Amino acid sequence: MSDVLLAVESVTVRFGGLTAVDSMSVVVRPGAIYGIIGPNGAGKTTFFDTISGHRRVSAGRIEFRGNDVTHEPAHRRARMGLARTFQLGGIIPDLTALENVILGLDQARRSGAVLTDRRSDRAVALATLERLGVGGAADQPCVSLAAGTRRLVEVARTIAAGAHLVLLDEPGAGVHETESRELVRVIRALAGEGTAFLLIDHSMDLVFAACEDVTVMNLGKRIANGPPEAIRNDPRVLEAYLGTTAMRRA
Amino acid sequence: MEDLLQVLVSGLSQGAVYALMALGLTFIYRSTTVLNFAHGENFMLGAFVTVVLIEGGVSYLLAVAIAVVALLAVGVLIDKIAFEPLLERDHVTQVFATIAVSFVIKGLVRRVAVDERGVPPLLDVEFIRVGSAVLNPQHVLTVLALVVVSVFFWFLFLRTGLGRILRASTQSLRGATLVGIDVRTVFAAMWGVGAAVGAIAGILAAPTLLFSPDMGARPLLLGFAAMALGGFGSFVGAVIGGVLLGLIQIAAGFYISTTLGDLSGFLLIFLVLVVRPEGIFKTSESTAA
Amino acid sequence: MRALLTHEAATLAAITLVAALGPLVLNGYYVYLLTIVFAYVILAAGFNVVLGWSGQLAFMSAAFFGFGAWVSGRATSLYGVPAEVALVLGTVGAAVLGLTFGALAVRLARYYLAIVTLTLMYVLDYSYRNFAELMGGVSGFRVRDPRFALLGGAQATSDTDRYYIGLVLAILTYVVVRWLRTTPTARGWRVIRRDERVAAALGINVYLSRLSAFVVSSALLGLAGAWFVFLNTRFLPEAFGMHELLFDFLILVVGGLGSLNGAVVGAVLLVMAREYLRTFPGLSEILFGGVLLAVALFVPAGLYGTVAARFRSLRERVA
Repeated sequence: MSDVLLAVESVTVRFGGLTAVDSMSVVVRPGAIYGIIGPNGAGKTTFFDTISGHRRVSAGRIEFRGNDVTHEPAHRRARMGLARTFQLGGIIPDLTALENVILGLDQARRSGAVLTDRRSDRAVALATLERLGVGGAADQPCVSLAAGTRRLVEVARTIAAGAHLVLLDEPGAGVHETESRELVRVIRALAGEGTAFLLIDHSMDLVFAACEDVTVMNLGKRIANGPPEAIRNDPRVLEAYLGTTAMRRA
Repeated sequence: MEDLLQVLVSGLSQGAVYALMALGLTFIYRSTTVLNFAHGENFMLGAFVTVVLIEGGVSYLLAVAIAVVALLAVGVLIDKIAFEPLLERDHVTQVFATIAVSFVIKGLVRRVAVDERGVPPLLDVEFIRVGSAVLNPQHVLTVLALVVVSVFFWFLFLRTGLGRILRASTQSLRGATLVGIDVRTVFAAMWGVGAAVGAIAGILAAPTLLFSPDMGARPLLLGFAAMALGGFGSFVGAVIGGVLLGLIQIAAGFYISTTLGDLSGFLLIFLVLVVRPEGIFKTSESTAA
Repeated sequence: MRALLTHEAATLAAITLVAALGPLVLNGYYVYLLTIVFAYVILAAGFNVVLGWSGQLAFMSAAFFGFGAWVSGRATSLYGVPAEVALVLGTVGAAVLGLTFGALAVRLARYYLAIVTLTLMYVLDYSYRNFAELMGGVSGFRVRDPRFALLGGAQATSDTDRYYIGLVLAILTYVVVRWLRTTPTARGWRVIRRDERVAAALGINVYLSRLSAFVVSSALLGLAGAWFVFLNTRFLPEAFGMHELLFDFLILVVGGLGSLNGAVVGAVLLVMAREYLRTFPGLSEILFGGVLLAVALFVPAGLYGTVAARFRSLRERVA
């Protein structure tokens, strides 16, 4: 399939005798919104880190935009159009929202994009923020912004970077419910324009609302995969989250 | 042959001083993740207090005992003033605080002790004969002290209830707090113990050096070197690294050139950190700085 | 944004103008003192790049300051090189040392880097003292008055000459570093200071970013030293050890770590304070150590940082 953006094949991560990720595979296409859920310790973040390049794989293969990036460091993948947000601390707090988005423009230039000259950086950054509905926060230091707004600023940064695939690491963390819905709306709008998203989150509501395809992880392995409606009622998923004893009692 | 024995004892003794410095640094580093840049002053104060007491007429052994206890107090004081208030801050700030303390202590001592002075050795014996080799009794004493201190702490840490508490605290701060251990007391204790061990190093090394307020700088750096050599954060590594460093330094100085001997400690730091930052003896305890 | 820049430019021009009047209204002692201040402005602006902006624990200021001084001093005293060339040699020499040393050193994180840079300082100090024929020995070596080829071989012997040259160098350094702050590279330094994982996710090669900060600092520190050596009659190894290092920390911390303007303010304040404290031997250590501790404990943003924040919040309330 030539239009596959990200192809992760049988990725395994082992350290200290523990297998944190066990032969996980994922395929993401342009404009898709893909989610990964699972209980604590399932290995989601570790798996995420292998895709963004922040962690080495023990086995498996990762292909991004047709290139084998299995052994490429994070910064090289970032220069190929892969962007990532972080559960905590992805935003530089003492910088303003605008300045944070400009970091995304820097990333775009490092990716080889030919942009307008640096003097219009501020205008471009402002436009991106407005596109995501947070233009008003432009000149405020991010430390004073609400969690939901900060997350949107972070996403704006990935858009400014011209990312083809955006990895969202617990985007709902610390975000209020109303802001969370806004976040989902923004993600769906951006996906409609061609950006692909891969996200992990604890909140199943957020994941089910945003994603068209969901993978469930437990103990490093994939235990289920499919659209939200199917996953929601899958007994294996409930078991993973609640444990077999609860199932037996029910 | 006699040369070899002399080099060996000399090197072990020098190494023991570095090992003690490294041990003191490791106590503090393991429990609080801070590298105490004022540790050289623990070394210097140990010697200083001892000298002052001896000149004041106190017997040697009593002076040493008082000095060690005094440095326990100093360690706790530094913890309370320069570490605890900065617990939540970044590492740069914490390091600066210890450097600041180092300078204040040096400055204070400089005001009080204007001249450099010699420190008398413990034993009146001039030298010990082994075969046709002549050994410096101070060196032998130093090596013995290292063994005693090491065994003492090995016993304390691995064989007593108190040791278990301390180990738990260094492994997981949160876990220790949850179990009801007062971590602030643990911090204070470790800083105190670290300082005291540094003081012992200073007291042992002082007779072979001249006392000066700046005498702590080299032992500090070489203490770091020992830690790097043995693997940062490892107690066993600190001892092995220190001893190895001392041996290499004396051997290089004796067999090759004095310059190389002086520089060997520094060159070793470069070498180890460039080639193998986790130290030569990578144990399960050693952590990345 | 544009308004801010002209505002800054105007302030800079005003300060330069006032400074230019210095020798006309101040006596020789103050002219000399301010010349020292200018050298330290270069040092502080340079050191701030690696320590303040990129957040690396590089204890390198005294080492590279001293090395630049040594290269420049040696070049003029032994080889009669004109001063401009000596300045360039000092800067470039320090940059080369920074590049070769840094290439290996910046791979190390946190405390390891601090230890290794401290070690470099001691190795250099040892070399100055012990390899006398090459390096100068414990009592250093005499430095000749600088000859400026551009000024037709004229010797800058008067305090006033040195004042103006120092002022020009300081202003140039400030402008260059200020410009540097607007570049993507400098923004990258800010990110690596905060979180290197995020930096990598932004496409920043963390190793190269660290190294670039290290080399820039080396060069500026070298320039500061290369010029500074002409302000004394001798090159003394002991002037470039732990005491100098603490002094430089203090400059940055008091001004506000991470701020260029803070570094400048710190340089002015501390050079003056040090001069004043010379009359009380032994007190400077206690005082400087105490101030460093006090600032770390109570005023983490430094003097400039705190004042600037107050000013900013005031403006926000008014606007």
